[in-house]
Amino acid sequence: MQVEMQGLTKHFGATKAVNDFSITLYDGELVCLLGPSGCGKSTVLNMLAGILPVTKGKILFDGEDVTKHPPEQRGIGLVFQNYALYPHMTVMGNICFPLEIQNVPKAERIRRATEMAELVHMGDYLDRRPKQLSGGQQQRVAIARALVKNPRLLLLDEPLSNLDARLRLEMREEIRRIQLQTQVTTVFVTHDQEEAMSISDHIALMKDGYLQQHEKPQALYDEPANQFVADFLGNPPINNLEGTAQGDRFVSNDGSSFVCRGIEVVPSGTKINLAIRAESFVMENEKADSFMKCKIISVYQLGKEEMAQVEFGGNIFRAYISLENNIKAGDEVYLSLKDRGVFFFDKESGRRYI
Amino acid sequence: MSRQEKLAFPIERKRNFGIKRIFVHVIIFTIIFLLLLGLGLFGKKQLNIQADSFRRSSLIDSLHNKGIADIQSAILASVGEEYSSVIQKSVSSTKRMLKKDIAVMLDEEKTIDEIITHTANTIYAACEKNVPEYALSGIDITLKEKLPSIIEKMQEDAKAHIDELSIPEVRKRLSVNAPYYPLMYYSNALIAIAAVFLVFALILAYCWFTFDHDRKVKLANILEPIDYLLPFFLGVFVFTLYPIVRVVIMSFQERYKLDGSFTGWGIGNYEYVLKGIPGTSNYFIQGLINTFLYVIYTVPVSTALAIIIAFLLNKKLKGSALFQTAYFLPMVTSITAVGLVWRWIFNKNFGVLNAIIVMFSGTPIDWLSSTSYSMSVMVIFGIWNSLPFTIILMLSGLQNIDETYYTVAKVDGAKTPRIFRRITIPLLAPTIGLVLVINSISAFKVFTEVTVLFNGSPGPAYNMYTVVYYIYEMMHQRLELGRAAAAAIVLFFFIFIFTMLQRYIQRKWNYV
Repeated sequence: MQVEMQGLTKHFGATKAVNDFSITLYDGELVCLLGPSGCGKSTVLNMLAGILPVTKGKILFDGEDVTKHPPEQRGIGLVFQNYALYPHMTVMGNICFPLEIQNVPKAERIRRATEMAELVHMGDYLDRRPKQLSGGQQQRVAIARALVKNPRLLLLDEPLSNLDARLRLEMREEIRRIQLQTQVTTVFVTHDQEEAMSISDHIALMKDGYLQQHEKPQALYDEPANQFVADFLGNPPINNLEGTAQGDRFVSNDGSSFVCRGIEVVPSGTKINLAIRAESFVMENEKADSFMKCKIISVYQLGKEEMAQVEFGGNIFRAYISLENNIKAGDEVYLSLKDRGVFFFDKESGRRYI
Repeated sequence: MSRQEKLAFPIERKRNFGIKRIFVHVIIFTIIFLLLLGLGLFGKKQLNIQADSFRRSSLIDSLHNKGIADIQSAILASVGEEYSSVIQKSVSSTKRMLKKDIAVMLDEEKTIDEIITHTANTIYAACEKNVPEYALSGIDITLKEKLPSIIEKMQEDAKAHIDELSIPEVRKRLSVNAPYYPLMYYSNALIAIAAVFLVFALILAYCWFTFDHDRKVKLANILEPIDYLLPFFLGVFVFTLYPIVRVVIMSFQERYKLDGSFTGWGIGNYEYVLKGIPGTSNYFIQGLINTFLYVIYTVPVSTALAIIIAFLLNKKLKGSALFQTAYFLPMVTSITAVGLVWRWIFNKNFGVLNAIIVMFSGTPIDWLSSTSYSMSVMVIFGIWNSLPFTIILMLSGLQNIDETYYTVAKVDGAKTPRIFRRITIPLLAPTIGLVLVINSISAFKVFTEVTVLFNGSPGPAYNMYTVVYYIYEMMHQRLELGRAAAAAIVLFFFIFIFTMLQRYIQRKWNYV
């Protein structure tokens, strides 16, 4: 099902939780709503579910306006962070409950519930109570319960936050598998950028109630729309070098400078953040005008390569250096920049110059 | 392996202060020992003083009454009939004076010999005035002859009194109003407990002097928690455990009375309570039936009402704060004062309830004086009274249910009745179980409702006895403490069975 949100706005009294949020989700897509705590991503989810009334804007399901529809008329499945499995019912009872509400005959109920339990690999646990299951198993049951009534849209509200790191990895692959198998349009709310990057078709990154960028995961990483998107994605975080653009040169705050490719797009004299991903540095052997003269502060071994803490013009940043360079703390080195992973952001507005 | 070694990150603790704790205990135990011993000995001393005063007054009585009577009869035997009235008159004229004399002479530690001689002389002197001389000489001779035997008899009598008034007997005869009564009565127990403390103190002192450092630390570690628990346990022991044990013992002391007397050990109290006096109505059984009916009527109804009201209050509707206050009002008002209001509500001629009945063209009901409505009156008042606390428990139970259960159910399209039936009630089951237990126990103990509604009597025609009312009446009006205790034990037995049953059910309801 295609879901369209047009100018979605939600105010809680004076608090503006979501502002003018417009994206379109295509049929069978898994879309992540990503953002830090309090950015409004769960509010958007609740508005999609119909739990929260919309202040302004429209929600269209396959072109049909459902903004005013109550939750039960929207055909959605909902999974919570704490799973919200009914503790007094068995796994079978839990998965059957949505069908029971729809007055599906009992035999049919059991058939569909069993089928769904098989899909999430919980077929052997039908008689268990939720407290007898592990966190991951409970999550599977919660997903089965959400899917059993064949919803048009599946909403997952931070579904992996209660799991430990290893299970989280396993479950996110499971969610992706189940989603691909059922082809249900899915909205996945998370604050974990790695989680979002790894499973979604599109990511909608939010901050303070505003949509920052809606893109494919790799595009989001490679072409961040602004400073916030660049900062939010990537591990280690992107390096920000403060300074000024002077023609084709980047001048750092203490006066040291180098010729930087692409900086011409920035009006001369503008204060900018030169944002560089840690993997976008190349070690050079000789001195050149377009190379940064840096000082190594410390070096960390990471196995296949080294991570160095480097200083340039008063800015300290991290860079991946390949092992054969044999660097050590205190060395003076020259670094050049790759084309990829280098962005110029306005210091004041965070706007990107392209 | 010590507990500390088992920890992943052993915590280094300072233990020097702990070792001293043993020594501090020795001192504390010794002080407690001395204190208790002092109190016990003081009580013993007071008991002896009390015994002496009992003996003295009994001795005065015996010397005065029996001594004078013996002397009088001896005199009467020696003279003719014609003087009997005269002699009696003269003897009684001296009686008052003689009583004072005897008391004074006893204080001066005069012997019985001297006292009796003095009595005889005084009586003789009194007779001198009224009896002719020839008769006097006869009296004189008789007295001299009989006096030694009278004295001997009186000495034996005095000894018998002292024997009879042994210390245990004195303890029994002690009045609760007597000064130092508890110290006198429990002097032996005080000394015994003091001895226990002395033993503890000695053991610890021994440990302090013989143990090496490590064992001292170990001992101090054992003592530390006991330190913190002791004040609490003392309270529990004195005010909870001892009374419980005492009631059990008392229930087997047949016809135990306030003065501590009882006719013997046995199950007579239980027999009396359960069988009653043959041929009369047994108020205990009546009370038991009434109590059971009261429990069966009030508990389910008030629990069901409380669930519904709590469910509505929990919805945060408009004005629910006002309703909350209204529903919780009975909890903060005095049941006695409210009972008076209910008496007015139930009034036959001016009551609100009858006004409503008349409004719907019914006939007014004599709620409080007609025996057939007594139970209804009690049940209505009881439900109203137990509702607020039940609602509070239910509300807290409801608020413990995670909101997401409702959200998921609502998204799946469930309506309120189904959510209530399939989610709220099952998740509230542990609270419901708890409420059932608490409410049944308090309903089993129904008492105030009876006294307040029926003006201090058990129903209009003695038809509203409850078990606790029976206990109260046995104890405070008939002063039959043993029987009251037996009735209390029987009640406990029923509450115990009921509670165990409910606990069993409750465990089945608990899934979380």
